[in-house]
Amino acid sequence: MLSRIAAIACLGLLAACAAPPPPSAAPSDPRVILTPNVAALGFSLPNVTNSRDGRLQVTINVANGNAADFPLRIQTDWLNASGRPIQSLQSRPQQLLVPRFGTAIITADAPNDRARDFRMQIDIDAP
Amino acid sequence: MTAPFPDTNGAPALPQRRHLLAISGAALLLAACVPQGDIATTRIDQRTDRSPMGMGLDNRDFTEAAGELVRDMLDSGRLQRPGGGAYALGISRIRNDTQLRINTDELVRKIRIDLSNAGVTRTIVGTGLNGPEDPLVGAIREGRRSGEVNQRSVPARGQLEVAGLSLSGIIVQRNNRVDGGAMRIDYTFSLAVADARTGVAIWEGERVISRLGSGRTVTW
Repeated sequence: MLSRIAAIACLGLLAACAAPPPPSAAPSDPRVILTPNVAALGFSLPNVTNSRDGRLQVTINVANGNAADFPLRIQTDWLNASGRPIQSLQSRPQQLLVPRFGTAIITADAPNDRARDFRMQIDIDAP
Repeated sequence: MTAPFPDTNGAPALPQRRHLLAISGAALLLAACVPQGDIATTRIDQRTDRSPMGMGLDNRDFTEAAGELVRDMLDSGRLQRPGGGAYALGISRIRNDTQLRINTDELVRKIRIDLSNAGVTRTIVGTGLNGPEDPLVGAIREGRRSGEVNQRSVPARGQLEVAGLSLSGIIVQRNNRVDGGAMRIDYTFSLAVADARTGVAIWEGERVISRLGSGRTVTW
């Protein structure tokens, strides 16, 4: 009986020593879509503000705890009041390199004040 | 029937060797004309374009540079007209100081479209540095002298607007050979927006796009 308790206690200790689960990469915001390729990074929730001229501006902090720089490709679609995408240079794919053991800030600005919503897809920038 | 130039050593005779050489040369030339690999032509979607790039500039670079510069212009707030409304923007000289054959309009057009859609500028096309961009604006005014033209449809005098703001700039290329025989090329896109009334630049911006590649590559 005693050895069984000891074995269970050992198992419990081993379980406690196991590596903690990686931080959840996906912010719980449906406007931001993270592909599985960027699961190794940590992302903050999007901070959405209005510029002086009434344009939406989005900021997301990214943390890279890995020993290698991480290239990101960010595609932001700006949507008008009808939910249709607005064609603009600000909807082009953007590249961002998150330095190893470092952080970076994803920023996206709406092309005009008619943008009411956005969808941002974040993926690894690799062929 | 005997060969005209029998060769006892088994090697082809001189004319035969010449024929062989000519055939080999032709085969080599033909081989050079054969397409390398089986690369099928595909349509590129700009949003998912992950195709390889060269040391020169392609559409992605112009889009990137234009997008960053427009974003900077809008963020600065200097293109917000105090009384509201949009400025009349004239396109001045955009110099190409690179080894590439660039139509700078590729950059300017993207910028003016986005500024126009943002509601901050209206582009002047009736007057320009090298004549009007849209010659029809001037041509319809020639109708004032024609008895065939309904004069009520001809624009009255003094209607053409001139630029309130002027957009100018330069694209510069700098090549550097780096360690290991590689080549680094920096392309700098510099633009300025000047108040046409005072001649003072109210906004200036710069975007650098760099490449690192083989030193044996040429950009043009």
